[in-house]
Amino acid sequence: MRSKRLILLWLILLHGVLAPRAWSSPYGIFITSAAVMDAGDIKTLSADIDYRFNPSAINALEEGIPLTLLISLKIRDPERLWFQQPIVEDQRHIQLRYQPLAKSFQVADLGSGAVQNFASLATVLDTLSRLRGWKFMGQYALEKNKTYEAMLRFKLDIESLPLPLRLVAYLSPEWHLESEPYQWRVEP
Amino acid sequence: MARRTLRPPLTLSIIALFLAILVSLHLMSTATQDASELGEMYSSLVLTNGLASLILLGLVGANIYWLSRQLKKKAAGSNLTSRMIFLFSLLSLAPASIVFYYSVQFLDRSVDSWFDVNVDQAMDDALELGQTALDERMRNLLKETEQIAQQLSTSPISLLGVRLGELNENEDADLTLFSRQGQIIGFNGSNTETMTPNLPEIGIMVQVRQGKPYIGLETIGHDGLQIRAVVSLIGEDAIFLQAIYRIPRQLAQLTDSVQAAYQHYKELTFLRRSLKFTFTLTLSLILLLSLLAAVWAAFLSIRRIVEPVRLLAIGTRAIAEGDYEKRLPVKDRGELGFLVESFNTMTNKIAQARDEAQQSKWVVERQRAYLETVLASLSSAVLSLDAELRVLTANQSANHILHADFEQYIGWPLAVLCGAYPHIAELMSQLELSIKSEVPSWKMELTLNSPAGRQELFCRGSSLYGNDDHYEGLVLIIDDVTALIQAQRSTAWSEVARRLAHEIKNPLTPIQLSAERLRHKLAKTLEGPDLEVLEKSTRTIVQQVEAMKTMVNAFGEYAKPSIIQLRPLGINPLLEEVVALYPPNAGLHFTLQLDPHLPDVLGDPVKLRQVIHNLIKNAAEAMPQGQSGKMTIKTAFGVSFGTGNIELRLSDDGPGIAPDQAERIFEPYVTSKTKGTGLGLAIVRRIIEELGGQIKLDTAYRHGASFIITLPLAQPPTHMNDEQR
Repeated sequence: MRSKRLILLWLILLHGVLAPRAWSSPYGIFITSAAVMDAGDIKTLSADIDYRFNPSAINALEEGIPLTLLISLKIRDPERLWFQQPIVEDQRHIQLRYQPLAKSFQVADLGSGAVQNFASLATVLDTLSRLRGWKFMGQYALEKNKTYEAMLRFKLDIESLPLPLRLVAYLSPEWHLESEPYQWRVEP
Repeated sequence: MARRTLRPPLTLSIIALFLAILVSLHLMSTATQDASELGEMYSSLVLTNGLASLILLGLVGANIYWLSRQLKKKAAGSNLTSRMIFLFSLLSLAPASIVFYYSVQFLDRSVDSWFDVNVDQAMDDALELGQTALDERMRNLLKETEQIAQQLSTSPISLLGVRLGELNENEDADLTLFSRQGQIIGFNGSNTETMTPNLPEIGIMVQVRQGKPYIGLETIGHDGLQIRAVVSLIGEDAIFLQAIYRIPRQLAQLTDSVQAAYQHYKELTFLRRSLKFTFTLTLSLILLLSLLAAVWAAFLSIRRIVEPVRLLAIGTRAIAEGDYEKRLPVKDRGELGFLVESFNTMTNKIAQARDEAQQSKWVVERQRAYLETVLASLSSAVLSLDAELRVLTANQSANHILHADFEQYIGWPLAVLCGAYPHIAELMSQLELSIKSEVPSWKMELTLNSPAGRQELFCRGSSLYGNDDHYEGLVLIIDDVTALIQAQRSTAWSEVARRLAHEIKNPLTPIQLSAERLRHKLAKTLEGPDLEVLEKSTRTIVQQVEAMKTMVNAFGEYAKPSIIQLRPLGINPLLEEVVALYPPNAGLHFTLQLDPHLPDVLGDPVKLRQVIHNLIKNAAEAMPQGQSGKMTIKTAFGVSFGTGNIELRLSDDGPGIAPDQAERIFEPYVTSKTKGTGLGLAIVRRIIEELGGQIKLDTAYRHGASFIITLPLAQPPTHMNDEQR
């Protein structure tokens, strides 16, 4: 009896450590809408996101710590089993960086290498909140007249933080900036 | 055994564990240096090491739990194990903690020493210097852009594109005119790389639309810099002019270098606490992992070291409990292994000694049992007494002969036994002198009045002496020679009777004939008183000869070996038959107390009738002249010394038998009567003995004479059979 209680306690503690999202906070990333659009021959992803970075993250950004946002998209065939590979699996790494000399913010797409400068963080977040025309990889595998399940997720990539900050970020819930998986049906 | 062979050697496991920990820790420590490629693996390494720590913690915890249970159970070797573990942990913890403490201190100070107020200030100043250098340039360029915008504002919209080319005097500038909707009206640039001009972001546009011109520095690529200026045309607020000026490469590199250094320094400053935390955590993890691994290894090796000691303790306990078969497994060839082997040898020897002792004990036991059997089979009573005259042993014959239950009095003083049995007290009083004399051996014949009657005993005594000639007691051997003496007497009498019959009977007939002839011849010649004398004398001779003949015949009868035909018969009907022959005026009144459930006896009816007649006649003759007596005849089932028999008792109320005659009443010519041959009881006894029975005079009966006859059963009773089985 005692050992069962002990195991339960451990499980609760472990869950607390491994799932800090459970601590609800006003900060985070919220996907308000997402859709796959037809743009002629190709399909693009558009999404609206609401970023609410907490003061620690903003402070770190202003102190020169680059923050990397990881955007991941998965489109899977519902007929396939859960452990099978999704049909579409693409990721984008967007890096935010403060330029002290220019007193501006720089946004870089680490995949394409495209860089954009912004005078203020507000304009950065405003721009980033509208994700438009993402020509995601693997879209040619999607068949017409078939329904797929798409899942979009935004999160702050802790692994891209400087090494000394990583452990702190892992252990502190305020660094867990992560959206709930946004799921919807896609019919190409 | 199979389990053992599958296990890798302990030392190897420990070395492998330490190597694994070392590699993991080394990787982690290398990863902590940011430049390393292992930096990416850092989190997983920390997780791996954390998990390893948890597993080790679990193992150590399990071992501590095991040890605490062992301690609670007071298991062998647990105390030693706990002490060694405690000592080992203390020894490893103390230096490790000291090193850890100073390392953390050192780390703290080292990290702190990187940051200096002067460097801080220098960094800020360097950045400001760079900014000032660029600000000046930016102000000029804004002014230049505003001038172009002013000049352009006077031109019609259709000519703006041409006018823009004319006004752009700066080689490193890209000028773009665009509408509020972002439509490009005109563009002029010397070294444009993109097909479409890079328009300002929305934040800039908001500012410009409010009438505030924008000027800003932007980075391009790794080390490129450009200045972006956005102004609205005067009067034409729906059209905007953007000018992008490239900064000379050298200046751009210099400012970028300043910025990079500043950024790095700022980053480090920001990460100062996290850095300390990470280093401390790494160090703590290393310490924890090493300590846990060391403690676990200590548990493993100490358990192995203590194992022989534990086994020895278990073995010793087993021996203390009398288990000499315990053998300990020898796992170690070292000193402790030698100890275990010696223990096994010792146990072996103890077990051997015990077996030998048991063997000899068994031999002694067997000899004792043999002796007991021999003693039990002896017909003589054997009693052994110690120096204090306590009964040590007594065989079964002692119980028979002395009519006492010696088993109950083994170990008790003889006086207690004598208190319980008065006849033994009488015997001992006769033997007292001989017993106390302590002479090596003596013998004595004596007569004892026991409950079974008068007994002739032949006693022999032998004193026992120990190794040091110390008197230890004596052995009494008592033989009941009553029967023997009686048989001797009986034989002697038979011989006398036979001779008498032979020697006397032969001349009697001639004497009688001669007397008769004498009377016959002389009767004719004599008369008067002479004839009377002759008649009287010859009559006397003939009568006496006749009497002598009767007597001799009786002797003959007594001496003659009788022919006995044994068969089962009921004693009660026989008694009733015989008694019926005596009419009430015969001088005796009979009272029969017959047990109706008696089994048959084995006997000869003719002889038994003769016995009963003899006894009745004997009683009748013993009665005083002219008086009638009473005779009680009683039958009962009797048990004597395990054998069933029929007890027949004939008692009368006559004068009885004088005590001095009681002993020899069954011998010929022993009689208290004036009449009779004196052979009646002698014949009775002979017949009874020939029938396998016994007859004795009940000396305890005081109202007359009482004879007890015991006769064997035709068949042993069934319940006796059951008991005997």
